[in-house]
Amino acid sequence: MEMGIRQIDGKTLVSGEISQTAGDSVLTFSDDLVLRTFVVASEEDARWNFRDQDGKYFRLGPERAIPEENPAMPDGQQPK
Amino acid sequence: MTQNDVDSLRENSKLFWDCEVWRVVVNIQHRFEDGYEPSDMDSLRLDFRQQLPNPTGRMRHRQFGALWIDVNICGLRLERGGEILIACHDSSEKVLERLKELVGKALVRVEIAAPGGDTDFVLEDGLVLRCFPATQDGGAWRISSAEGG
Repeated sequence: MEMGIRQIDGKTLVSGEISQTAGDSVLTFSDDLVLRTFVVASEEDARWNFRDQDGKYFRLGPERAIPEENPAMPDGQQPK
Repeated sequence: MTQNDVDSLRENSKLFWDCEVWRVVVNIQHRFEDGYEPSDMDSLRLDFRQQLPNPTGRMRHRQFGALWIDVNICGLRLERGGEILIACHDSSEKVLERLKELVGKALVRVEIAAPGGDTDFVLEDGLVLRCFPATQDGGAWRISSAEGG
């Protein structure tokens, strides 16, 4: 497992695919590195999640494009 | 796992094609902890038999061998038509209820994919036993003859 983590470390996530029926996923990283998951419990929904550095769930999807109310701006600039 | 390994395994498995499951052996590990009693499938064995031609019309079989799957080092699911019937970490009750349905089913073919060694054991009635090895060393499953070879 440690070897696998070292392989992924520093790579860029390029794409992700999830099987709608089984929930298996294929996460492709740079250098053609592929992380495949296989679902071993049919009675659960959550398989994996993205979290940010603070451990908060990182939501994917259109809502990520909504600007925050008080975005951090460089000194001296005002949000439009 | 190389393509040669895959081809070799697939050729060996052909001996079992068309053989019928006559017994299913499921090992469940049940652990007693403080306020918690988890149960997980430990291994699965399918015993196969082969129908023998018999001119008298009476059905005769001979025990042929077994498929043994170590669920500690691979994920395992039983599926039909893309629907998951059970997965190895489902409740023991559900797993046992479904796996006993394998008795009487014939193995149609075995599909193995390189490089991971993912294996589909395709059975009658569209049932697929899907095995996802979690080690590079092999040994997630093995087939053996009735003589133990």
